[in-house]
Amino acid sequence: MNCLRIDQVYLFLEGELSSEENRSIEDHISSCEKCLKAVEERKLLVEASQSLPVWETPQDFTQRVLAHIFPKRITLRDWIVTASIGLSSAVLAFFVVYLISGHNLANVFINLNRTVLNLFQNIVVVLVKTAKLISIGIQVILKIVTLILKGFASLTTILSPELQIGLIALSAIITALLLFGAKRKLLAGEKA
Amino acid sequence: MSKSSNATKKPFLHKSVFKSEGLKSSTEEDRELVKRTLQGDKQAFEMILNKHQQPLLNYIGRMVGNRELALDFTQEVFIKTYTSLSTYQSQFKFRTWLFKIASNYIIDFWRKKKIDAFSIDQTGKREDDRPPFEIPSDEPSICAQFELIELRGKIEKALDKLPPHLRELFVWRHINEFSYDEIAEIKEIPVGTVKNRVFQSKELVRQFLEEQK
Repeated sequence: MNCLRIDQVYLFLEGELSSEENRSIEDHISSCEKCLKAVEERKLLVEASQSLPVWETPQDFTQRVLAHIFPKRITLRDWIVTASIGLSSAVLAFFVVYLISGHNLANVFINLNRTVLNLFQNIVVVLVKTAKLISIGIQVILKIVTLILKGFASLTTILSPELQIGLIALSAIITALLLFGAKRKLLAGEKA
Repeated sequence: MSKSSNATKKPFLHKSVFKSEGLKSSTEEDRELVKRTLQGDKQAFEMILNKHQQPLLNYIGRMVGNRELALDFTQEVFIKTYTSLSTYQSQFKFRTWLFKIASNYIIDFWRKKKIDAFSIDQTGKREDDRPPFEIPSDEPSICAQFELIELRGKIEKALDKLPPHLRELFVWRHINEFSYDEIAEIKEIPVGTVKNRVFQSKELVRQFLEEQK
C-alpha cells in the first residue's frame, strides 16, 4: 500500500472505512513511521475537537421560548378569580381595621377622598389661570408684531425705493454710531 | 521494539465515537413529537425544545461567538421552527431541518449586517474544494505538544479564525456529531464535497495551532 492521503487518515480515524480498508491501513502504519505520526497527530486533533466545552442553556430557556410561542391569554375565568380575590381582600381589610381601631374604614376612605378632591380642584384652578395669562401674553405680543410689520409695509408703499435704501443706510449708520458711543462710554467707565 | 510496531496495538477511533447508533430511534421520536405538536400538544414541542436546544446553541454560539446573541438566535430559530412546522416533510430528519433553518437564519443575519454574506450558502463547487492532500514528509507534530485541556482551548481559538463556511461544517461534524450524509442533506451539497471541506477545516485548524505555538 502507498502512503496515506490526509482524507484516508481522517476516514480511518472516524471509522468511516470498511474493515478491509481499516486492516490495510493498520498494516501500512505498522511499517511507515511518517503515516503513523500523521495518524497519531490527527487522532489527538479529532479527540480534542470532539470534547470541546459545551455551551449550556439557562434553566429557564424552555419556558422563555414557550412563553413567546404560546403567550398566556387572560380568560373570563381569570378575570372572575381576580375580581373575587380583590373584593374578598377589601372586605377583609374593612373588617380588620374595624376590629383593631373601632373606626369604620369607610369613613377613612371618604375623608381621604375629600382631601384628594380638594387638592385636585385647587391644582386645576391654578393651571387654568396660568394658561389664560400665557394666552393673553401671546396675543399682546402678536398684536405688537403685526402693528410694526404693518407700519413698515405702509412706509414701503409711500416711500420711493431710493429713499428706502437711504433710510436703511441712515438707520445702519445711527445704530453703528450708537454702538460705538456705547462702547466708548463703557471703556471710559472702565478707565475711570 | 520499534515505535512502528507499537502502533498496531494502539486503539484508534471507531465508528462509535460518532454517535450514529441510536439515531434512528431518535429520528422516529422527533417525527412523533412533530406530529403531536401539529395536533396541538404543547408538551410535545416542549420535549423538542429540551432535546435540541443545547446542540443548537453550541452550533449558533460557535458561529456568532457571543453567548447572549446566540441565546437570542436559538430562541428565534425555535419560534421560526414552530411557525413553519406544518411545512416540515417527514422524509427528512427533523434535526437536519432544524439546523437548516438555523443556518439560513445566521446567513440572513450576516447579510443584514453586510458582513461578507458568509459564503456558507454556496452550494456549488468552490475553488478550495481541492482534491485530498498528501502528507508532507517533514510534517511537525503540533497537537502532541499540548495537554488535552490546552489543546481544546487552542482549537476554540483556531475555530474563530476559520472561514465561516468551513467552521460551520467543523462544528456540525465534531461538536454536533452529524454524519457526513446529514451535513450534505442540510447544505444540499454532495457528500464528497462535505468530506473534503471538513478535512480541509481540520487541516486549517492544525495550521492555526502551529501559528499559536
